[in-house]
Amino acid sequence: MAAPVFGAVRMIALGQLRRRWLSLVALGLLVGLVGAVVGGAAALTRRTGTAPARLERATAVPDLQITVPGGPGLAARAASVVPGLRSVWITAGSAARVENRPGVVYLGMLAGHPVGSEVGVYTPVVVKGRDYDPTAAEAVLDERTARSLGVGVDDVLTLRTLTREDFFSFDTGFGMPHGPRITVRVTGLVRMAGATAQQTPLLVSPAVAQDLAAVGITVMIKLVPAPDAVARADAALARAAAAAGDEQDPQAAEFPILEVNHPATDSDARVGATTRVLLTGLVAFAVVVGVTGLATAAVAFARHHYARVTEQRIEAVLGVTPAGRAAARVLAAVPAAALAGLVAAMGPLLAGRLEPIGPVADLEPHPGYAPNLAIAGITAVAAVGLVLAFAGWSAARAGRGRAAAGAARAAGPVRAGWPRPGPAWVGPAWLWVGARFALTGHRPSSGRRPSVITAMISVAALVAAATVAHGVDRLMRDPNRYGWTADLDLLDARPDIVARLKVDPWIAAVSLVARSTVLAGDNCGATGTADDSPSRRIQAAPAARPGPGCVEVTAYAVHSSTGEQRWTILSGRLGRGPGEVVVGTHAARDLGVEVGDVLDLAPRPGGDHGARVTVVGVGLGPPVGGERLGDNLLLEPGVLEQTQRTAPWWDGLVTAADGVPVSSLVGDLGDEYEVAPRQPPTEVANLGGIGRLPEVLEIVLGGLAAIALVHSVTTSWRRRAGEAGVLRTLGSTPAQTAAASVTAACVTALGAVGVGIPLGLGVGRLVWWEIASATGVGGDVAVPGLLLLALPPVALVIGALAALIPAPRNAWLRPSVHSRSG
Amino acid sequence: MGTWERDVGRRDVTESDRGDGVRMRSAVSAIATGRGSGDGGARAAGATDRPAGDPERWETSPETVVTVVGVHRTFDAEVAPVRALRGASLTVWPGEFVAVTGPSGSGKSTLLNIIAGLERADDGSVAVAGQALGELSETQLARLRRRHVGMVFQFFHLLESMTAADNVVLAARLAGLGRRAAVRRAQDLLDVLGLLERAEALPATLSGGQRQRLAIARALAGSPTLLLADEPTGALDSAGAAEVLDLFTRLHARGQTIVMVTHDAAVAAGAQRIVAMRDGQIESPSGLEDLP
Repeated sequence: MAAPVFGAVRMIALGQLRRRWLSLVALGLLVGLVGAVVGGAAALTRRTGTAPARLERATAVPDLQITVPGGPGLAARAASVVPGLRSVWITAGSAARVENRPGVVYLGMLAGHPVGSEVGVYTPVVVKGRDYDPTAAEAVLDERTARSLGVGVDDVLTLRTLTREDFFSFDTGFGMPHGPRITVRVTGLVRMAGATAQQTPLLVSPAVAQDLAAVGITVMIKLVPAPDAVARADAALARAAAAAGDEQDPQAAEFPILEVNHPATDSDARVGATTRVLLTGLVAFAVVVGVTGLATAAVAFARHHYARVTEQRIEAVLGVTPAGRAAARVLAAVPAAALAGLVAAMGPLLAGRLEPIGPVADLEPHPGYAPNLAIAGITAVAAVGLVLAFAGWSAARAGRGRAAAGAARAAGPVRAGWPRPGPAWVGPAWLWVGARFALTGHRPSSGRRPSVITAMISVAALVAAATVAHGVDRLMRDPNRYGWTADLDLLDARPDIVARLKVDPWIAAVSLVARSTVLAGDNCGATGTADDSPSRRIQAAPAARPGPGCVEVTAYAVHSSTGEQRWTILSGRLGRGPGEVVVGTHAARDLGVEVGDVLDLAPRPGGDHGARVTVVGVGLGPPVGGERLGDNLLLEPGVLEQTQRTAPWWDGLVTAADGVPVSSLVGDLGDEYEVAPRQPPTEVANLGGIGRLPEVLEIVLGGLAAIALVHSVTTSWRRRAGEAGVLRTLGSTPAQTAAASVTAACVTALGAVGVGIPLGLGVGRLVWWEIASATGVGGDVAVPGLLLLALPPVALVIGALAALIPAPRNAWLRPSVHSRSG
Repeated sequence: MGTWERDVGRRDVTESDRGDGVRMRSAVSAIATGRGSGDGGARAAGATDRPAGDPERWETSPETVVTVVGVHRTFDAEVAPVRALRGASLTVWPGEFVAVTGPSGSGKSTLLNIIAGLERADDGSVAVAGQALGELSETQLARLRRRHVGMVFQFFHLLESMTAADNVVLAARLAGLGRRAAVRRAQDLLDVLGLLERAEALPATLSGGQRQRLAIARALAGSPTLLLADEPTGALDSAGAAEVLDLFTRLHARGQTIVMVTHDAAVAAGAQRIVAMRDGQIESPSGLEDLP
């Protein structure tokens, strides 16, 4: 019995394929293209999302990077106390002033290891050129630094190296460096994970390094992955630092004995916000295309089988079961499914040519073609499955459609439900007829909705993308939003320099700011009792380092100021006395404090008293110390002096007078001092690095919304041609019919924007909150007002224009075509 | 032309508490011109007498309602052109109830659509309510339809997205009635046609007979001079068909001019005059012989 049934199914399938192969090919192509776009987006999303982690793996980014101003003996001791070591590399660090460049530019250097040695930590990948020859005067340079310096492969750098005395005299000035002048050829540009790589962007060959004066020792450590491995290492290092307290070189008083950074952890925080924005955009794009594309494909399949429902009735009369009829159509769709799978797989394969998008491209460890075969395979299988599923579903649906309709009718009277616009309403009848047509479905009822839903989703995604783009743009245009009210930072400022600057007519405001680190929060140590002095606690090593709830955070204090320069306050106010503190956004979150809370600060090493301060504001200041944005405090000078962990660094924050170009001021001051023009913090710069991507996304989504709207309007009226004919029979003039058509289009358009705008604003708000939370900036949303104002009229115009496509045909339609009795 | 500008059917109906049969008869009273009962009985096939109806009306309206002379219409088709009408001629007098019969493909529906101004004749002349259709633009044809022509189709062709009431209100408003008047008119028509309780129902939920009655109500919403019906009983069961035919008969009795296309001899027998068509031509009396 099974064989004849299968034979019948096969014959039906072949018949379907013979007569309707073109339609099936088109459907397969449609699903394939949707799959290709979604799969391509998924591959790109994966490549973008995993780039930072892959770079960290490829470059063996250190879990700990310890800078030791003392000698190699202390560095070796420090390395030896760290538990769970997997790899360690101890190398010398140097610094040099770059010559033959405008302004004062200093460059940090590390003595590179011999090429080919397996140090297992800190292994930058060469993205352009080649590695250095260990025996030649060569070096490789971090690509971002190379970009900022305008240096390329095979360029020669002339460097005037700093002596150790020079290096430790940054705060008091040393004139020209006193170390030897060297020249190195840059043989390659390298990429390295972790923000600290930019502190020492030049990796010189051992041959060069042997001639350099080391200003410090750097210890790179890779730990065996384990829970709390980093915390345990930190604790061990704290004990080592405490034990070595007496070994501090007086010259290096402003440096900690062991300055510990966590490149792996820090780099994630720096790129996290940008990566999230990019991934959100890509995922939103993929979801919009996927949902709308597949909905369109589902409707197309439904129409495909609905159009030939008579054939199914004949087959039913011949005794073919519903399952058999559906199976035959699934069988007929197999070639289309294969085509869909093939086309869909091409998306991820072609997307392999795309680098991670935005600034994350700089974090790709393996630039070039990298197809994601797994996603290609999954996409292909999904496309095949979807085509077969659509075929089966639509065939079964068409087959039982008539019975379902009859059952619905037998179910009794169905009223129109809520009051809908109709000809009995005030106003022209055609107006309400058009509105009614737009608001109610027609047969088959599934035909119009995907387009309208597509338009709504596209508008929502467009508004969300615009909201995010608007927020990023506002952030980039307004430095106050990332805590900068000054135009430049003069490094290692001194009171005498600041005094000179205060009378400089080119300068509107200048502040002398002290910067150090403090331990804040609970379990940091005494805040005032002599019996529990920090020095004793340091000697009693286990309590000397932050416990749970204690956070080491950068703290600033403004010593003198002229003109208008302030922190950006997001809530509360600025401090007015020694007992008050303004906390950065990230620090507030890490410390778990808000306005009104009390914060304990540990005493400085060797000090007797810490401080207890009240949080009066949460805000943002310029993170000139290289810390994360918002990962700092603003204290009164006396409180900072009382609690600072190291001697402070001094910065002069300078604002140019009105009409004075900042670049001119930078050039002028740069001839004499080391100045750093205002730069957005890394996390903000990364956000800005996504450039025009949101706009591209807006254009794509706007186009998709417009196409969906046009499609909805045209197909809706094409299927309403019969009703347009009836209108004409009733005496509707061509103009009235066209007006009803335009009204329907306008109502559809308004519906799309009416739902899409609030939805998009909600999504945009959520995404922006996520960005703000990750970067530390204010969470207030930038509403794209112009877009919101423009969307309704633009949608109306598009809808009306789209209605004009079928309107003439409908208006002049001869209703008899649809009213012949046969 | 002014002769045909009738203001009909605006009478309030207060007979909704009567039974269906009474209601149907009252429908006729409400819908028809209100110019006396007249003699609406069916006549023998082929009769060519002056029509029945209100004598006063015919005295003041001596023109024909429909005059079709030598009309040709050919449709393009995939294989060869289809010559649907080959010189068809027909005259319909005021108050007449004419049944156009003939086999499938004889041109009945095409003739009806040409009379309604939904198709244009390739050759020949057509006049409805004194207006030559060939001279009218599409907009003028639409206006003529809303004033003078009501159409009923085999498959109803109701606006499925609108309620029963809205279907009728729309037609009334297109015919020029104000909003309130259109609503009243629709209520009256639905009441007398037994559909008032289903006024807010969507057409898809009505039975075949109800849908056709709704279609008739809609066709009568503008108090048309001429009611055209294309196989109005073709999609109905025998009870529904009888109901519709009875309604037509009574409308005719009240003076409504009706042209009905049907291939059902039994249905045609209910008409006052039967015109037979074959191969795009009128075979039996067309009424032209009565023209002055």
